[in-house]
Amino acid sequence: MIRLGRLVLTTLIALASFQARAGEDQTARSPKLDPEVQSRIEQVVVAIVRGEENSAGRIEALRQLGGRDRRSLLLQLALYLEHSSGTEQSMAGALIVQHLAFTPEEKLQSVLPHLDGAGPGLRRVFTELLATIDRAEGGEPDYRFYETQILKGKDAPPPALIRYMYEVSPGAALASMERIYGGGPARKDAAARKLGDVQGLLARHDAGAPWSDPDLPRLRSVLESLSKDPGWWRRLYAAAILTRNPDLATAEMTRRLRSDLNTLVRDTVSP
Amino acid sequence: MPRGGVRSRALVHLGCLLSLTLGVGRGDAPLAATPGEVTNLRVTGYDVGTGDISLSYTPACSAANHHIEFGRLQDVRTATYSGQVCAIGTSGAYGSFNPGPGSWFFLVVGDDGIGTEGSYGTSLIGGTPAERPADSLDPACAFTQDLSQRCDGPFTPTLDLSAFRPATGTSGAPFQRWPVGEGEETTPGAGVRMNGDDDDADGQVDRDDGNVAAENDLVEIQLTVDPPTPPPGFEYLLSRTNANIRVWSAATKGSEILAPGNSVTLTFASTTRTLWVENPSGGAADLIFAARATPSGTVVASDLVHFFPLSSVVIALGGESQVPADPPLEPTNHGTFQLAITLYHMGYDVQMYDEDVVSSTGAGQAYNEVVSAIQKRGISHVAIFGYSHGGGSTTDLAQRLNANRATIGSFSIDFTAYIDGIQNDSDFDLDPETALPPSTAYHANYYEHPGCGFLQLCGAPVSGADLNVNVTATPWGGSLTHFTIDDAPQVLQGILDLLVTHVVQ
Repeated sequence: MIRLGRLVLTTLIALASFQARAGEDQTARSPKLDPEVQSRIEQVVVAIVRGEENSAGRIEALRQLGGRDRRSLLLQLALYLEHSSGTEQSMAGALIVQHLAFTPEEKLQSVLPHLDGAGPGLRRVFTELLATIDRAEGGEPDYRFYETQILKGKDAPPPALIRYMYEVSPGAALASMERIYGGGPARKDAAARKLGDVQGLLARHDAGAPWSDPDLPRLRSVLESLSKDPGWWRRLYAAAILTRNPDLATAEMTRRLRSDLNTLVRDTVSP
Repeated sequence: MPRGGVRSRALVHLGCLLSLTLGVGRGDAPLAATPGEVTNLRVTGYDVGTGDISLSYTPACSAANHHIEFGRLQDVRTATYSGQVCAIGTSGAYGSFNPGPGSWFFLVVGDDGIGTEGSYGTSLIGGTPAERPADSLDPACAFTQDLSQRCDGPFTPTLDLSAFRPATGTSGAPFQRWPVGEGEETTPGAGVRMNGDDDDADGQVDRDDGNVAAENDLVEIQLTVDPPTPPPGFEYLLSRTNANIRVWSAATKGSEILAPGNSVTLTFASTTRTLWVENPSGGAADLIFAARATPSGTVVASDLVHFFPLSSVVIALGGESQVPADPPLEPTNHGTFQLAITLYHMGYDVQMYDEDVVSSTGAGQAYNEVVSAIQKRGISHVAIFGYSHGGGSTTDLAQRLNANRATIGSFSIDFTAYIDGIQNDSDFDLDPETALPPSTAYHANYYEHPGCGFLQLCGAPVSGADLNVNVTATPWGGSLTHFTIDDAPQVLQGILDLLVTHVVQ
């Protein structure tokens, strides 16, 4: 079994190397493991798990190794956590992150450039890091910090962040976008009310209520309207809702959103 | 539990007390696999010159040959044999038996001509009529006695009906296939999920559906019988006490075996047959597998399994980066999943998850499973427990369930437990979980708290909990840390005992 395990591991490493070369362009921005930093992180983790007295010294050494480039250190911690294989590594790693007290800016600036290119494991670590910003106390997300960041470059919002926001909560993301792009296509009161109805129905459905016969046409009607809206963030909301609730989609709506001029909208509904 | 067979065996051949010399005639018996008993053994002559003894006897049924077993007369009480005469044929007479000078006892035994022998007759052994012991030395011709299917005895098939724990793996991680223990087949019986969901998503409730591609609510049963084909005058029967259960040919239903009535005659191509039990709409019923005589209907062997609808669901949530599996991926380091497996073996409907399936709002796969169980499978009792971040997720899940009661339907959260619970607002959340899961009827909280200094993880007491155990202050838990508390036998046993006390199956 051990030999077989080594063989499998060797094959996987070889395969990973090949894939890395083949997809060099796509992975050019992927963070790379720094063996020295990884070794230092592991030492701190072991010290924490064993309750060793030198854990304070070890984490201080790690902090100094990060020096002024704390974003790189955070990325190395994310990579370490991506490969963690137990509660010991995961929770001790989280303790390190907490102790090093990264600011929301540091977290966002570290994660954002790599968010869309990350594989599922690393993306999971990244989104959990972002959750410490937008759901510090759990519950529904609070995107106000992101809004201030997006407002700095309103005409070119970072797609990775927008995608993340809609992925976590389409409703909260739409509300943020309405605040940011309020000068854009305006919502009429009636439309806003309809949207409120839709969000209420969606929340009830998420809680466990089945669609009632009158619900479906109402929902589809509002989503149909949103999918044609001039505001990309509203079309993106419709796309996000349809992705979560495929039974609400109509062929026409899906076709329209798949050929949307906005890449975010298009990508969200593409299979 | 097999019934009838063992009792029937004890009744075999009480009437053969005189078989050594006289026996009791049995007449023609139904054909069966192994030889019966030789009867009417008589000495018909003695050659003074040669010492040969002539014998006559009534051959054993189903015997392809016979042999003589003999021993010194003083050993007759212990049935100690010292010699054999092999292959004396099936004519019912033999004229050349010559054990030598002295006093001897002997008897004739039927065999199959190969290696299986039949009955040596019965005798009072220790004051009780019983089969004489077979010759274990076999100095001249080797035979193994087999009385299980003797042609002259009552039909006593080996028969068993067994059930398995419910299928898993559709929502939580799969458990290994596990049989209901023999001692649990009637009390409490085998739990089965009420089949009110729609596993193949075809818009039709599964109980009303013919074939369900992804069906996962039927319970596997196995019928074992030997011989597969009963002798003439007997049949194998499967019956139910009422229509609360239905029996199907496949896990996806296939063809209905037991309908429209409550019993059906079964045939077997081999000794084992697998079928599936459905509970369409709740209610309990017994399933009985029997061998019976026809036309009298006298049952000669039977086995019964009681089926009852499961009324609870248990959610087990591991710690960060613990992947649920059976067997556990780390057998000494995944106590939460060890506990889940134990509960599954005991008959609970357990779903074990990575705690990250529960978001910080409580939404996700575990929530959906509980809601589906309540709304479609008749579940009304919920239990949740978790370790580390799984403890935090326990609260998140309970909060969402409690908040959405009006939408979900009627249920109670009968039991919750934390093992060093840590809030789970994100993977980086390190705050101890101190909230009491809302509406829980009983909450147990095992935590470690050695001071919680620099770079230390700790649980904490939960206000309102029915049980708060700071393991650090116990004689057995002083050295436990956040990373070892979930594997402590005292913690796991404590939660197990409490859950079993507070949660019905």
